[in-house]
Amino acid sequence: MSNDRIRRVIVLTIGWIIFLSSFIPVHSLLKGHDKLRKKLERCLVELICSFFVASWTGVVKYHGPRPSMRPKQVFVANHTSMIDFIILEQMTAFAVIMQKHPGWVGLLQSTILESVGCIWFNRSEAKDREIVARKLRDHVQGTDNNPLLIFPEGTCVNNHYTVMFKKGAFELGCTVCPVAIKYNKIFVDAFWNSRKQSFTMHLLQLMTSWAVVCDVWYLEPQTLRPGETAIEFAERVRDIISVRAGLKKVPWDGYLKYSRPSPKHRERKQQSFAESVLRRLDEK
Amino acid sequence: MGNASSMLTQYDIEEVQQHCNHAFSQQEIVSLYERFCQLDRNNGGFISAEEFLSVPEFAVNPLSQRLLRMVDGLNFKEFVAFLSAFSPHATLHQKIEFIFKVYDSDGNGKVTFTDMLDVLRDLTGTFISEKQREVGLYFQVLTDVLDEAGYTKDSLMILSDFVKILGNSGLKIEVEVPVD
Repeated sequence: MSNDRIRRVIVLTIGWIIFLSSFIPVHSLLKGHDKLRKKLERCLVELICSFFVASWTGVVKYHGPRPSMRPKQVFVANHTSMIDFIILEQMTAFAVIMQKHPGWVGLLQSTILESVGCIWFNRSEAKDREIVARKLRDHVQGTDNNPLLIFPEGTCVNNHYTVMFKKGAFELGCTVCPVAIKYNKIFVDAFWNSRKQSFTMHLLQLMTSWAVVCDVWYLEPQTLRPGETAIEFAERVRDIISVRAGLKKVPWDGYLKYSRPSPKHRERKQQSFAESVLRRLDEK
Repeated sequence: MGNASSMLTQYDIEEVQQHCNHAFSQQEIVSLYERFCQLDRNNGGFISAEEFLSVPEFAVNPLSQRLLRMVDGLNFKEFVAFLSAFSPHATLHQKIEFIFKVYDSDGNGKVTFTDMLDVLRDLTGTFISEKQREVGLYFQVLTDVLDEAGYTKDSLMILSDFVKILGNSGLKIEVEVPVD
């Protein structure tokens, strides 16, 4: 193993030791003193995330005003990999909504992320959407909860495009703060293709690459305009993020990773061609 | 060039370039190879129909079945030759030849009225309704088009006929291959 890799593993191990030796006592001993416990846990989560980022030699440039803790606001960002969460989390302890993963990641999710307040969803369950929508609303209303970070694309995308945003985050009746993330591909391709490799392999690959270089822009908070639907609002925010990060907008949604495009896309093309043919005929 | 290994040698690139009549630069061929390997998930050396359909723009294209027939099972060299019609360096004749091949689904070098009807049906789907088809709308559209060019519906068109019809149309089918 090269010196570089050894250094990274050591950094990460030290990080974990510090984290666990502080987190476990804080979590169990300060059971009664919730406010203090939460504050410490927040700091510790930010700390372990910084260690993670250091272990990939992460060079992150944050632009824009640091998010302030205010009630009735959610943060939305484009999604490339699970490390998006870690990169944002080292600055601010967000609560997040995620898919529960198997293995050691799932274990981390249930224990540590519980402390910052997380909402779980299950992609394959049909009724899940309503349950999750209710949980989102409850979280945002709560005064003591960490600010919520949502990835409206619903899945990891390759950091060249943005796919259609799901409207869930935009119909909560609160301010939406867009965050744009762009990785510099020269250093590493941060896209986690969950169909091709597990998260462990992905993390290892990151740790053995040169560096993870990215830009994070915290953008101006947006609210729903009068007469705007949630979907239009979502598209408007997607536009803001795409322009800032230099990403192309595509008209399909993230679930294409799991299934074929719906026939309506093809039908739309057929319809416009048919109309032009018929129009030409009428003109004669 | 058989199996898709992860490195292309200079010799390989030149061979591919030769095969496509220099429609693409060497840099572009390298980029195309990366894309080919990305699409060829099971590393079989060719892109199957399933793998092509995983490209969303391809899957929503109304002519996808026709294109699939032309492109299924091609190895990299043939893949680049197939794409050469889209290169900005391709001549108008090459582009028209490509379109001719799309119409000529049985590959016998002749395009009949029925072939053209089939393509029109693919392009418009259900939006020119069965009823309109019965009333002969399709017929009418096509006969008009052929009339304008001086053909009848019984003509059997070959490539040179296509060249005559489309020759002055200012056809533009081009794609830019991103070079890192």
